[in-house]
Amino acid sequence: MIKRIVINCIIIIVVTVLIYSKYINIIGIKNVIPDIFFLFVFFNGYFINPGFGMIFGFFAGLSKDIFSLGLLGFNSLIYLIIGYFTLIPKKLVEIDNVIVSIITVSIFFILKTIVYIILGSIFVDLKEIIIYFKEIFIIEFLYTIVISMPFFFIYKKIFESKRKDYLKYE
Amino acid sequence: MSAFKNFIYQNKRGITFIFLIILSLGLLFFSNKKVIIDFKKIGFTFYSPFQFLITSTGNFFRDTITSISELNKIKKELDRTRFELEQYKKAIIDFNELNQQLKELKEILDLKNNFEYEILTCEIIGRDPKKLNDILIINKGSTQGIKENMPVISYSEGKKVLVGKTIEVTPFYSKVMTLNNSKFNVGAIISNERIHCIANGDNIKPDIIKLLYIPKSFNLPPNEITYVYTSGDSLIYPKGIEIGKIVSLKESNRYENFNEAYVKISVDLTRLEYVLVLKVEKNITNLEMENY
Repeated sequence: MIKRIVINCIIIIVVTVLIYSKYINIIGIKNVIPDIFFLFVFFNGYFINPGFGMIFGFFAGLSKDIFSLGLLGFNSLIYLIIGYFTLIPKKLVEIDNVIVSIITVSIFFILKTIVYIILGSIFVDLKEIIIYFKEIFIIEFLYTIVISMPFFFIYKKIFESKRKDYLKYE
Repeated sequence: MSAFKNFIYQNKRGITFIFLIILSLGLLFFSNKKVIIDFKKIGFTFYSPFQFLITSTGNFFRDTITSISELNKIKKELDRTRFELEQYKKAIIDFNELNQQLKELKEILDLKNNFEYEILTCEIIGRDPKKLNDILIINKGSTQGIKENMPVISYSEGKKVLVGKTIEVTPFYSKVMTLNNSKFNVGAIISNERIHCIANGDNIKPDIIKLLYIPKSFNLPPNEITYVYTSGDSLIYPKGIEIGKIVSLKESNRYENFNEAYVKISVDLTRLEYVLVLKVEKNITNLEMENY
């Protein structure tokens, strides 16, 4: 348990620092990078445990909020909701190949965008939401989908047995 | 009691979810109302050593690789420089005489220096990943005398050009909001017509910002570059720092009496590695800042 907490804390810190470092523009397409935390939250929730995905999402979002210019708690709320709702595909969908993975990730990315719009309309300047859709959304969406493929294979290889155990237990 | 415990155990995921939702909303409201304890700053300070570690490691590898190829270049450069040095020795005699004349002229005209402020050189160590040039993170903070709302400039082709202003300062690191950011506004003046207006970051394109409140009477002179500078009306920015050049003029959608213009900013934010922070300290109250 402690080992898992330490590993995930390191993942959150390293990913946050990396995505906010000047070297990240090496992988940026038109200055946009994939939503790596979203993928971690989704696959942690699906392959390990939705409760774990939820808590991971909360802290990953909080970490992102610390660095970004936005309000503290904004991203943590979005990722928390994403993590929690992974319990739906976990019970209903068998993600056993990359096509199903892409479809499910796409649905969840759209869910994330809807949550972003709802929360954004309350807490964020409308101009920022418009800029997000004009400049970032399409590239980020496609880029995240592409990056989700290696994520899927890695998680499937490491955590598939854990996911099956969880389903038996549930 | 055991029924309550049982209930908690069976619904632990839902209870955790609700608890974290409340915590997130609490944080959102707290950070919205500027409480005395700034959680963001505390967190940002915690991340500083990790940021430093990643940047230093990256710099080390980049410098090592670069230095090998640089050695050959330097050798050739040395030979060329020796030759040039001889030429300069001849020129320096003329230069000294000219310099003396210049000094005298300056005294006669009583020219002031462009900036009477202290300047601090800072390295850019991070950028906001969402829009890479909206926010920059620099390697100096309050311990070096940086405060919030200090103007940040750079040198481009020998001119002082505006980069942005500091917005968050921790002991060793600071965040800079660039003029590309949609929240960025600065009082501006159009060079040849002396028209006062406002430059506003718009994020339409990475290097284009908007110029607002231009009178209808203003026309863009053909075959002539029209530069835009800081007007000095602002509480933060000194007068005469170059912002960019006007690329096009269009009718304002919002105001009938004014036009708008697109300005290509003079600073290349994608290649920027070092910036200069001007230690301008004006007594700006919170009320003035909000109005501004």
